[in-house]
Amino acid sequence: MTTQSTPVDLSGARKVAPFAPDLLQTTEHHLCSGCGHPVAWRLLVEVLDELGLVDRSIGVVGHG
Amino acid sequence: MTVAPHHTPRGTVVMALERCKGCGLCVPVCMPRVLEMTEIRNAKGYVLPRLLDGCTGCRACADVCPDYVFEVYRFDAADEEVH
Amino acid sequence: MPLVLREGYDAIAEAAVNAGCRFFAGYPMLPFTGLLDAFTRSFESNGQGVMIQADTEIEGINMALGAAATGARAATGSTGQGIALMQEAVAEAALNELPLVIFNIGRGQQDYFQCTRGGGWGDYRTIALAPSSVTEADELTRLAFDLADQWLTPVIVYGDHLIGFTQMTVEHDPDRPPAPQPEKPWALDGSSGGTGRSKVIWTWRMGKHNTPGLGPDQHWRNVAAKYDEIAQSEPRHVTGDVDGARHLVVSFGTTGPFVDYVVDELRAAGHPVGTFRPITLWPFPSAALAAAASGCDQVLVYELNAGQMIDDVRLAVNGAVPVRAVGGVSQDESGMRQGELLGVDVMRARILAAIEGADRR
Repeated sequence: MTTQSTPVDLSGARKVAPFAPDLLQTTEHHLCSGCGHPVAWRLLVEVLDELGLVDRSIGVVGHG
Repeated sequence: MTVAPHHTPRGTVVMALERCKGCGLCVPVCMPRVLEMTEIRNAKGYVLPRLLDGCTGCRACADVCPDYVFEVYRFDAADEEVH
Repeated sequence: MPLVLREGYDAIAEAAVNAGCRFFAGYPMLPFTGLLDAFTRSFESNGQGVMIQADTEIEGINMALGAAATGARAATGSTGQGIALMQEAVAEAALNELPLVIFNIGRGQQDYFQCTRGGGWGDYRTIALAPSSVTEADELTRLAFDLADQWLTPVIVYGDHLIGFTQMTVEHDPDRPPAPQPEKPWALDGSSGGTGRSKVIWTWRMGKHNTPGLGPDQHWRNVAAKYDEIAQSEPRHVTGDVDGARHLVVSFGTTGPFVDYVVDELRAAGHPVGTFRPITLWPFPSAALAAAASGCDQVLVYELNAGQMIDDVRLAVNGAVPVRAVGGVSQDESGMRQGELLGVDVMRARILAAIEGADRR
């Protein structure tokens, strides 16, 4: 859906930010409105990708 | 604050508003101040932002949004026009 | 195999290293601290192995859990109060199906409930082995690593200061080859790097968005079924001479040899008494105990606590024979060691009183 009164014309436009990095398997989550966790996930995944570390990473997820 | 008029916009966003949770963080972080919250709600019931004229494609909104709502574009031709 | 004299701490650490243990993390607390020191020495003389003195017990067990997740044979330990801090991580290891050996060098026999019921969350058990001597601690340490890898579960070895500080003979062959270890395809060892298929170790086993897992319901059912299998195939016990016994004395751990000594004397004096000692506190050897008790007038439980193993004894016997507690809480004045109820004179008096009391009824 859109809140823009006129449709967006993307001809000649260059994408500078995707919705989310490809490595993020989904954009759906149940965290609260305004939560910082998803921002941290995105930054983490972007950096791992940029540094070429994705194939050499172990993720450890804490509780609670 | 006034926004200098351009013949073509410098940037724009595409918003996946079905997943917006109305947190409003994009509004204060937008540097040219071209995002404002409306009273329009999505299917989840959250209020949604709207883009006004003057977007610079700085991508601050995409960087701060917890729900990955924004895809950000720049129009390189507009920068050339100013110079 | 040649015999050597070893203090319990060194016997356990050497057995662990020979069994393939290459990671140990813990926090000092008496009487466990000697085991931390011993692992340092054993890894040094082995030339390989990592010993970390963590900042807390919780940190220690989580480090060991992480090492186990990478496929290493890993262990941790403490004494009862520290094991209490580790309970969540024990449950995590069980529900993650990670092999992990946990040494409780206890201050006595009051941690039976801790190692058999546990304080973690969810449907899990821990295999619990209770050595009665340094010699048995060497064997059971090796067994612990094998069982942990075989069944993908935490295994507790419940020793105490008596085992830690006593020197006894153990078999020692410096050329003994290390124990064979099973394949661990689930281990996070970097082998799936670049394949685009990362491995997930998760107590809820939900997998990832694109590759969903079994989910918590099915996973937890599987884990529970595994523990049922372990309960069928892994109980271990020792029965003394029970020929003609009408009174069966049940004990565990280091109390065992003292009970054996007393009962041998009583048998020589003509009393119809025998002994039974579980080696696995879990799975408790219920079937074997029920069989041993079936011809008896009563079962006497001699444990140095307020009555913990006696619950499992009662469950095993299932009302067929009266069960009586003849031990009790008994620590020395420091609280760190068993007290006077471990003395054979006291033991003999109590067992005799229970035998004669039953005969009079």
